[in-house]
Amino acid sequence: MRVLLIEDSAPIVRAVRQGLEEEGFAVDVAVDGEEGDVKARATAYDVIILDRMLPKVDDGLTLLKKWRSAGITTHVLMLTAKTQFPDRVAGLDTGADDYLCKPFDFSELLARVRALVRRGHQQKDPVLRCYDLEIDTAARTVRRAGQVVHLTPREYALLEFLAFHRGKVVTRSMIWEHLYDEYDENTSNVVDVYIRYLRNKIDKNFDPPLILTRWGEGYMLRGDDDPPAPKKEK
Amino acid sequence: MRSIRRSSLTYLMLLLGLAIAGVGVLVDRFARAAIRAREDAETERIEQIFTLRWEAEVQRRDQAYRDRRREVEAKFDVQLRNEANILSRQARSKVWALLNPGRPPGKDRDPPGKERDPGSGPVFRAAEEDAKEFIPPKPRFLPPSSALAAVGGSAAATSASDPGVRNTLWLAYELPRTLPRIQEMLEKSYEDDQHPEFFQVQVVMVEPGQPDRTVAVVRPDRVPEDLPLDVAAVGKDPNFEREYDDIEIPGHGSFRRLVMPVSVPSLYPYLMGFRLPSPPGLQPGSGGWPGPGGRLRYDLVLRIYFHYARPRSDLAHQLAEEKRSLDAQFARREDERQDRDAQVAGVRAESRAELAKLRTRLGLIGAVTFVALLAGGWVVVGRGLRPVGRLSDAVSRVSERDFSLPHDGKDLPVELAPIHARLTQTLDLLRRAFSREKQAVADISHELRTPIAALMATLDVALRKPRSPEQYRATLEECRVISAQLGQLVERIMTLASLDAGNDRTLVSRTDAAELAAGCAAVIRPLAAANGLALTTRVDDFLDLDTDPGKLREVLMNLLHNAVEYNRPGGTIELVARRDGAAAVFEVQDSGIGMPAEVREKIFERFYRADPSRHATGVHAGLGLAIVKEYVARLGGGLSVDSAPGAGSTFRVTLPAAPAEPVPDAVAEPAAAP
Repeated sequence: MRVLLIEDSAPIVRAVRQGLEEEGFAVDVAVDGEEGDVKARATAYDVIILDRMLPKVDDGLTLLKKWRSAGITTHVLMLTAKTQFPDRVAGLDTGADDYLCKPFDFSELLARVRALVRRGHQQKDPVLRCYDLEIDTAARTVRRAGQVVHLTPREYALLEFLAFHRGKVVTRSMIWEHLYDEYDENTSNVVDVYIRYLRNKIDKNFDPPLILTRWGEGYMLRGDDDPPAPKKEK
Repeated sequence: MRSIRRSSLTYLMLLLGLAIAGVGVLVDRFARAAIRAREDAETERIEQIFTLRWEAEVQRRDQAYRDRRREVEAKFDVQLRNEANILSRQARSKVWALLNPGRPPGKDRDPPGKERDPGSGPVFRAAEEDAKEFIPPKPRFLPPSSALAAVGGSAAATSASDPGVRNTLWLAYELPRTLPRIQEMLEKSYEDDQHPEFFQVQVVMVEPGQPDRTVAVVRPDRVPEDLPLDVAAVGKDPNFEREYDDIEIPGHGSFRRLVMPVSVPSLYPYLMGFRLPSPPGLQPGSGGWPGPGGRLRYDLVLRIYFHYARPRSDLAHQLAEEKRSLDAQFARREDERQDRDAQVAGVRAESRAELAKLRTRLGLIGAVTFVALLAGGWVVVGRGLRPVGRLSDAVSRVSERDFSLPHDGKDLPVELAPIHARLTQTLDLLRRAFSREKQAVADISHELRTPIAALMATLDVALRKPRSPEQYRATLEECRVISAQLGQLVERIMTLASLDAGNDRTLVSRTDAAELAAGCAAVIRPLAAANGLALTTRVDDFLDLDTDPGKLREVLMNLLHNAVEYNRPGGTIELVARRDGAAAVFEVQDSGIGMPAEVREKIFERFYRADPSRHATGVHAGLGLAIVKEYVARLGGGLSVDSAPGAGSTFRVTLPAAPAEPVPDAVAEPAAAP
C-alpha cells in the first residue's frame, strides 16, 4: 500500500516514514503543501496522511478541499496538532476520512491507515480469506491451511494487495504503483521475482494454487468465481 | 443583599415620613392652637355671660335685699306704730282717767281719739278708781286768797273776785303739788301692768313763760332709765305726730323706738279734779286762758308722749329671715355656676375630642399617604430601575464564549449609557484578550504538540522491533534534538509568560555595547557560517549604556537568529552598534527575503511566522520577535523594522545611551561566554 505523508516536521516525517515502511507501506513524503499537492494529484495513493499546518499553502484543509472538488477520492487522514473539537469537525466535514491528533500513538496511526486501506477495498474484516489462506492484516500474519507462513514485508504487502483485489487481475504497474515508493528503482522483473517468492511460500506445498498468472496482464488471487481445477496441478 | 430598589425606597420613605410627620406636627400645632383659641373664646364667652348674669343677679339680689330691708323696716315701724297706738290709747285713757275722774273719755266730747277700744274698758275703770282715790272729787280746800295773792301777785289781789284770776292764782299755788301727784298716780296706774313691752309714758308740761319740762315719766322696771327725748325740739313742732329713732337701752341692746304724742285736752278745766270755771267769753273746750288784755291764753298744757320701743334684734331677726329666703332664692344661681362649669368643661372636652379626632385623621391620612406612597414608590422605583434590570439581564447573558453584550444600549437612560459603553468596551477588550489568550493557548499547544508528536512517533517506531545499537543510538540522538527544541520552546513560552505576569526583573548595570555585540557575534558567527552567511559587526567605541545586559543580549541574539534563519543562502548579516545623539542604536541588517508591509505589522505577534516553511529548521516557533518586543519595551527602548520583500530587513533597537564616559577602564573582551 502506498502512502503519501505530507508533513513539515522533519522528525515526524522521519519516524513515521520509517515506521510505515517497516510495516510494508511504500511511503512518499512531501514537506510542504505545494509538493504534496503535486504528488497527490499525480499518484493514486491508498492513503494520504496530511498535516494541517503546512508551509506554502494556507492550510491543509484548503488543499483537501481542492482535491475533493477536483474529484480525488483518496482516503485522507488528517494528522494535526489542532485538537480542538471545531477543528476536528471542520477537518472531517471538509472531506477528511479520519482525523488523528498530535501527539499520536504510532500503532493507532498504523491501525487507522490500515482501516482506511480496508475501507478503500470495501473490506470490513481485517482477516482476508481466500480458500484456506488467511491474511490477518492487523497482525500481519498469513496462514495457509492453518500453517503460519512467514513473509517479508514486501511479500506480505504484495500478498495483501493481491488479496484486496481478489478475483481481479492486478497488473504489474498497479503493483508497482501501490507497493513501491517514488525512490524505488523500477526494474521490470522485480514484481515477477516477488510473485515467485510468494508462490514458493504460499502455493508450493498447498493446493490449490492461489496466485494465478494472467499472461500479458498480470496476476490475481483466486476468487470464488474462479474455482480451482481439480487435480490440475500438484 | 442590598437592593437599590429597597434602599432608595427606604430613603424616600424616610424622607416622606419625616415630611409627613413635619406637616402633621405643624398642622397639629396650628389646629391645636386654633382649637385652643376657640375653646378659650367659648369659655370666655360663657364666663362673660355668666358673670354678667351673675352680676345682674347680685345687683338684683342686693336690690332685693335693700327693698326687703326697707319693706321689713317699714313693716316693723308700722307694727311698732300699731302696737304703740294701742298702748298709747291705754296711756291716754289712764291719763284721761287720772285727770278727769268720773268722766270716761268716750263721754267727753273734748278728748281727741274718737274711737274707743272696748277692750280697754277695765283699764280705764281701774284708772278711774285710782283717780277717785287719789284725786278727791272736790277740792278739799280752796286755797286762801293770800296764797293766791302770793302766787298771782298784785293782779291776783286785784281780781280775787274774778274767777279767772282766782284760777290762775290757784294754779300757781296748786301746780307744784299736783305734778308729783300726777307722777304718783301714773306710776300707780301702771304698776300692776306687767307689760312685756318697752315703753314709756312721759308727761310734759307746757307752761307759758317756762321751758317745757317733763313732769312725769312712767316706764316698766325693765327699762333702767328714762328714755331720752328732746322735749324742747319736739314741743316746737306743732305738727309733730311721731318720730322713729334708734336708741340704746342699757342692758337690752339696741332698740327701735317710736315716740308719739298722746293727745289730751288742755288741763285747765280738769286739773286735779277741778272743773275750773271757764273764763268769761271763753267757750269751754276752746282751750285757752284768758290772757292779759282779754286774750285767751293757753299757757298751761300737759303733753303726753308715748315712747314705744322694740328691740332691733327682732328686726335683725326678720331681716336675717328675709335674707335667708332671698339667699335660698339665689341659691339656684350656684346651680348656674355649676352649669357654667359644666359648659366650660363640655367645651373643653369637645375641643379635646375634636383635637383627638383631628389627630386620628391626621394619623390616618399620614398612614394612608405613606402606604400609598410606599406602593407608588415601589412601582416608580421599580420602573426607574427597569433599565438597570435590562442591563443586568444583558450582562448576565454575557458568556465566556461570547463576550458581546446582548443589548444595543439605545433605549438606556443617560445615567446607564456610560456604563453600557464602558461595559461594551471592556467586554470588547476582554473578548480580544480572551481570543488572544485562546489563540496563544492553541498556538502554544500546537507548538508543543508537534515536537512531542515527533518524539513519540520516533520512540514508537524505534520500539516496534528490535534494533541494532546504532539504530537505537540514532533514535536517541533524534530524540535528544527534539527534546532540546522542546526545551527551548518551553523556555521561550515561559519567558513570555513571566513577562506577561510581570515577574521579570530588570537588572540594570553599566554595559559596554561593543563588548556585548562582540559576544553575540561570536555566538552567531558559526551558525551563520554553517548556513553560508557572512556576519560582520560595526561597533562604535566608547558606547556605554545603562541597561540589563542579559536582556539586551537576548534581544540581539534573537534578532541575529532571525537574520540567519530568514536569510538567503550566501547572504550577509551586519550587526551595528552606534551612538546617535543621546541614544544607542543597535541594528541587525540581513540580506534576506524581506517582508511586505502587512507582514511587518504582524511579526511581533506571538506565534506569527512570516514563512511557516521555515518551521522545520527553526526553534523559535514565532516567539523570538515577540520576546524581543517585550524585552525592548522593558528596557525602555524603541523597536523598529525597515524591510521590503527581497531587499532584506533591518531591525533597529534604540536605547538611551549613558552619558559619554571616554574612560573605558577595562579592555573590551573579545567574546562573551556562550
